[in-house]
Amino acid sequence: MTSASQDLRRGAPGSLVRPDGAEVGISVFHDEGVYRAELEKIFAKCWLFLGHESQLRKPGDYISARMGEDEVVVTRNSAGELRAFLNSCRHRGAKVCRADQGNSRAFRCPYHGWTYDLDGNLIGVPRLKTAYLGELDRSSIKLVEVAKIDTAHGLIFASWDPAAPTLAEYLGDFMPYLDLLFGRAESGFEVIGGVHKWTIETNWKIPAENFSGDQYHLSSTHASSVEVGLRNRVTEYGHTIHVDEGHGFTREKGGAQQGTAAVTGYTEYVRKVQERIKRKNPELAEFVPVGVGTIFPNISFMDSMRFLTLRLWQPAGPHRVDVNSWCFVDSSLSDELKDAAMRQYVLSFGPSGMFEQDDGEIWTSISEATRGVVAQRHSFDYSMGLGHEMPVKERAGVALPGVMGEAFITEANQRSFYRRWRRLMMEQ
Amino acid sequence: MTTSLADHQVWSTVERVYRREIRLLQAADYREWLTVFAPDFRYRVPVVRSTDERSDMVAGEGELAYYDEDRTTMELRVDKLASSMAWTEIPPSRLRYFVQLLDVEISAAQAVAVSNILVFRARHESQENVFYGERTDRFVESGGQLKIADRTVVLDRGRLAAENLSVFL
Repeated sequence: MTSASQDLRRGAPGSLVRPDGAEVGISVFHDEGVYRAELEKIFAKCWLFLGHESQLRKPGDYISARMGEDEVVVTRNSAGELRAFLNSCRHRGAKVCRADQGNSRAFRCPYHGWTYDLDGNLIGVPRLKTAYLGELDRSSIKLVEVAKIDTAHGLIFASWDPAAPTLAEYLGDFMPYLDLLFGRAESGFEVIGGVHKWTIETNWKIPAENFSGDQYHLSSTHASSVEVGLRNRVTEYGHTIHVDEGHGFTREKGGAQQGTAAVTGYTEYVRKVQERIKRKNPELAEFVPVGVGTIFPNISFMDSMRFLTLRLWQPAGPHRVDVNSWCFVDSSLSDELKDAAMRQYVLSFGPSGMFEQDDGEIWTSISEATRGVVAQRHSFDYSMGLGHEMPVKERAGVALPGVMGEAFITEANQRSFYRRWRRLMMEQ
Repeated sequence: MTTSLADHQVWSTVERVYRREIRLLQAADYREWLTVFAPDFRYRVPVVRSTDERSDMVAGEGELAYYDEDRTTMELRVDKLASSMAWTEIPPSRLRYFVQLLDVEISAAQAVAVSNILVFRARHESQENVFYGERTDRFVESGGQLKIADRTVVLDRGRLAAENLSVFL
């Protein structure tokens, strides 16, 4: 913690981050005004993760999701298209969908009985003639719909911003890495049934920046899990890559979560995937499994030798994040290997995961320890490896986009994350 | 309903196991705690969801769980918690377990016990987590004692009100 330079203590939210992202005023993790501005300028604008197509296979399938603090329902309509709407009746705002998942032809609000179809059209209004005297224009009323919805390798994203770029443009140079993550399975990926849901009393950016590339915390935070052999010690070798701005990941040499304890057949399966990629494109085999990363702003992944998880850091106030986390498997795996991957994920990640349980404990303490006025006069330093970034092509000699640090352990990705944050927060 | 003397003995044995288990869990004496289980056991805490169908509200086999363990992985967890750098339990949590035995279904080879459980975890000055749900244990005879071969705990809350789950249920 350093004493924040004067201009990082006050002013517009964007000015709380140094232009190069190497210093961040602590108030961005606490200030109510900053948080409200994030909901407007980041969560009501960026492409946000909603779910996976394997959760919505048939027309009428729906799932509940959240975009920032706005609750939405995602449906597959009768034409097979994905739609997403605010989960709130246009009459008095009650939830029209009250289940986490299901299949339905319509959503009926329990309050006064207004009913909407899978395209959000208002198809039923009780007493339209006798009470509204036929004067309500039903056809002009729809559930509030997202401005854009699209998928990438089955991952469903949406944005509230009509002026948003396309999803492909938004993911930009991260796309080749997403291809390695979710494009590598010939028959695609699927979500294991069920969602890990828990609440961490910390700011959403703390876990998002951690997953974007914090290899540095591993040796201390997760020492106990290393001690029992659930993973190897972190070495100085690997790739920590970001694409400007804000999407980043870090991958240790050989793949994350190698270790001697409780190894399953899933690890052998990943080795076979590596060999398959190696035959086609030797230089890419060094990038599978992809490792741990964040797609700005709040969807993170962990693709390891033992399992694959995606998790969403849903903001719920400046000091609270509602985490939703899923386990993904290659659809072509046997039930036995799917089960092995799921149990390895549970052992390591999620609220009870031997790694993640320690993260939750420590992240909570960050919010507690820095909520006072004196703490907030200070800033966090993100200068590790500053000025030593270089194109992946040059540093790794691989024809892949993005920028990486000279050293494997670096804060280059966090700087990129906060540069993106700063730019969005400064937009009018 | 008639209760035979043999049934009564199983009930009181199960309750004795639970009282001992509570003492061990509250003391975080996890290595000793593992002796309440049979040599091979399964321990599951499936996630729950809200759906319109009551029958689909608990994740099934092969679906996600907060814990899905056997002896090997449970011993790994216990070893991890014994480390001097297992931050979730440094300083140690103060734990209080309440187990209310509701039913024991007894057959020749096993006894299945259903109970309500309520667990309070207090940490630091004012950090508090509460976990509550239904526990189903399948007891079998092993080495002349009743041991738990299967435990399933279904927590009621859809979203855990906790930054982590590092206690056992």
